[in-house]
Amino acid sequence: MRAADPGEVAGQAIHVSETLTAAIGAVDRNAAHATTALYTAHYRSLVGLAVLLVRDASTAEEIVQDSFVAMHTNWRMLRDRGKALWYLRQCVVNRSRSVIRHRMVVDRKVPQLMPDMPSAEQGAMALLERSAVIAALHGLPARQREVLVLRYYADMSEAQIAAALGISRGTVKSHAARAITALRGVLEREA
Amino acid sequence: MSQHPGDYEDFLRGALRAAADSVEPAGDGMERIRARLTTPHPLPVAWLMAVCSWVARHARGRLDSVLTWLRTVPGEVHQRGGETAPDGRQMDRLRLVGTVATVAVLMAITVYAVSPLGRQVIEQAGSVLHSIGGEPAGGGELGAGSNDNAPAGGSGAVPGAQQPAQPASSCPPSAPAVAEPSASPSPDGTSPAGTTSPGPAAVGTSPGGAASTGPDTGGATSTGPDAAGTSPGGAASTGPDAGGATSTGPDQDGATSTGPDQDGATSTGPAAAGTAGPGSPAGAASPGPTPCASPSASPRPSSPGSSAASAPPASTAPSSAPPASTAPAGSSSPSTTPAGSSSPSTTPAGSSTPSTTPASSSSSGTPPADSSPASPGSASPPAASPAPVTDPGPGTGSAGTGDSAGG
Repeated sequence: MRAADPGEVAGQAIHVSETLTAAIGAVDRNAAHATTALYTAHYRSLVGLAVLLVRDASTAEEIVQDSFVAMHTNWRMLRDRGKALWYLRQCVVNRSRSVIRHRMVVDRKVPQLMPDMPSAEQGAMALLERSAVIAALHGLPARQREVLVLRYYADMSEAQIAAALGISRGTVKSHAARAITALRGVLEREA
Repeated sequence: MSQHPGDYEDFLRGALRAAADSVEPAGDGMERIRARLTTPHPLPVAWLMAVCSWVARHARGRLDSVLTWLRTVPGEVHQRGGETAPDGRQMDRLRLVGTVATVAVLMAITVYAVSPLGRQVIEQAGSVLHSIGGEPAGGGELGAGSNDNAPAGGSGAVPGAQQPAQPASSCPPSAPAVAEPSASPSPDGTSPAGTTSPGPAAVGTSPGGAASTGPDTGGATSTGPDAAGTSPGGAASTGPDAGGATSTGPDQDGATSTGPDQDGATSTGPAAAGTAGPGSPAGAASPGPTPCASPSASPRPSSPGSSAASAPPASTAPSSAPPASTAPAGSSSPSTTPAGSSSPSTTPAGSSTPSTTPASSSSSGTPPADSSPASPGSASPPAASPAPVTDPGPGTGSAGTGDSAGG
């Protein structure tokens, strides 16, 4: 067998490099433009979505920014570029759920703060908590809250919610119905 | 609340909207995203793919030959005579051993190639082989700053030119220096990598232009013939210029960029000499110690349109070019331009300039901190890209004007 020509290998590497660089450069430009456009149009609403899920503005922003980064990084893997917003939303939801999950673990380990020590988070969320609806919403189980937020804030269909949360459509329906019933009960009691 | 379900949903929707809208996100969200995106790309994809394809191709051929040989063995045993009864088990064992050995070798090669050390060695070997074989260099990985981030050479003003051949843009920020002469240690020790390169790559540029890749910080000093005009001085001093020693484009327009350096040295001469624009502090011709300098600089005949690679006799591979032009700062000798260099190429640092490259990395040629858009002396405007997201591009290398160049 013919010995490998080192120059040939290097030439191949260069060729691959050139081709990839050109292709990736074009794709990256597209990704940059798309990211910019999506940021301009939807960043705020996505932060709102994350805030409703994680109840923390700074964490919500982090989540949304991470989602943008993830979308940009995986831009080449997006089959349907038109669904980038959908990808972003799902990313935000998944990351919010991860944060909530992480919080649950941390809360188990960390000793509770003294009740007379309001945290920064509480201060930031004071405005949000003023709404009785939001307070009642946060009293719901996490899954029901997610369904309600996605349904009535993100305006996602049941199928989309089911896909985003990884549950069936029927489960989405049942969660939504139970959540609304519970919410109504809470609000009626307060009223 | 005995409202109609639809009303209740509207009420709920309104409450959620009001609650979410009350949250005012910070204004620097885009900057944060951009900062996260501009982290260096860790993977030298091109080299890895090339090596893997080469390994796969050759390994397959060898495996075929081994299998063929293994198939012939039983026949030979049969032919040797009936006295040595063909032991089927032995044959099976032999095949098994051969297969296992082949697989083990393949796995070892793969692991070696994938691991950082392996990659480093491969890159080194590639550059050395380039310099030895005179093969085209520019084997850039996608590492630092692909087109987008490399303003001058990278994004290329020439539409038809093959962008990819940007030399330095391919330097992965994290890649170690590859068998390159380290940047000339300046006598005063103030000139790190940015000063006149000892490397032949520095001044040993092609007559057509300097394909030299600067050791500059991000390694995104990709320059090309088309890079001219990006720097104020006419020289294509691109790149972070943190080292001040970004390579210069050939400046096909022939503009002789006289870039007054920070320290007063006027780097004169045709732009091909690698003179840096006024923006570059040291105004030094790009030294070669960029990790990927050697692969990137050497001309590649097959890509005529490519910017840097098309530079004719660049032969900036340090190992192949004579170690001339090692005009450290302070030496008054004009840079010895290798044969073929049409330009006198007065090495800036060769002049009395102590070549005080400000933010450049150490003279060890280590790839410095990437993209410092606002690095002093940078010829390219710092992150002037209108688009919020400057292409995260694998590399950060360049001065961050990448996306702006790309549109």
